[in-house]
Amino acid sequence: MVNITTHTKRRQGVTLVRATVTNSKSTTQTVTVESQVDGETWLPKRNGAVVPEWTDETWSAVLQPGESRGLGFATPGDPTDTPVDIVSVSRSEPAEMGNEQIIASLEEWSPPTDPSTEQQ
Amino acid sequence: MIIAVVGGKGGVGKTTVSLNLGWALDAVIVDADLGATDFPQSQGPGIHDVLAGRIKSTEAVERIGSVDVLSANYATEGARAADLQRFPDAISRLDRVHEAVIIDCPAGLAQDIGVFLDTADFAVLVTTPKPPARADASRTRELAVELGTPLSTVVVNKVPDETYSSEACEQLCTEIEAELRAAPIAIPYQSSVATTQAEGDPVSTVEPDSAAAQQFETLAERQRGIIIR
Repeated sequence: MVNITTHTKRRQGVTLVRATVTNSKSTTQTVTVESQVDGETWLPKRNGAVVPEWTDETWSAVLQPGESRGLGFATPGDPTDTPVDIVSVSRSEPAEMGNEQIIASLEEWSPPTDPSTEQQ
Repeated sequence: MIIAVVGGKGGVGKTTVSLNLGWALDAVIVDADLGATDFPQSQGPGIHDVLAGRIKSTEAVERIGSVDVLSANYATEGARAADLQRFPDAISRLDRVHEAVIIDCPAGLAQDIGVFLDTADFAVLVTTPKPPARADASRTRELAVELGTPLSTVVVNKVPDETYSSEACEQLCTEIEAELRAAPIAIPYQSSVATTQAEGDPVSTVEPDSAAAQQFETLAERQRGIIIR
């Protein structure tokens, strides 16, 4: 199953929400979580851009079996018991390998030994 | 039209099929067995020189016997400079000026086979009736499927005379079709096939009325009807 644990902290009129999502299934899962706080969601930024897992008030990521991921945001809204919750979990199809990768996974090929140098 | 002739196991007759199919389709045959060719060799430049970037593929084609061949003349100096990454371009250059290109692939399942299959529009799979050859053909088929290269035909080569001329042949073909999931065509074992091949001559030019020659013509006819998307 996929679990979420949350933690909130209120400071100077801002609620900071942290959560950890864990995929304990044996298959890769796409997990989407959403803010449950009544108030605007201020999304985290990295190098000036919103981190790619976030779109509006939802966070979505692909979790490998056994993987845990952390997420967080800020909001002017008041803390609640469940500030963020899982809204969907779906099994991800394994990424298809490109032909270059398939070929690279085969036994290595090397050109034949140069007969002219072999004789020397 | 680029056709890879593949098989997995050595000695099943990939070169025989390439030569006879190549002749019937008026194709250029690319001897892609860079390590141990059993195709008639030339003294001029070959596939190694093309893959080393020394000559264009179209300039290295020559007439051997009754077919056009890009040979694997591996006595050429500097064979180690051969780079498989040049293969797709070299083949599409040939495809633009020839009716068809046949890639006579080596045995095994190394990266070279991957590149050859990936370059081809489709593949002709060659096996003999024997289980080890069929097992290797099955692995080659799986790789072709992974790479998205369709199999047009499975050639069941070297079928013993007593089988070929009996109902057992049809049963053999049905079994192999179920295993390898491609339309089968049986070629009877005929010693003259190998004899004529040494000179670069397909069996059709020497014994046009033989059962083998007729089956190779049927094989060619099937490939002519394929539309490349």
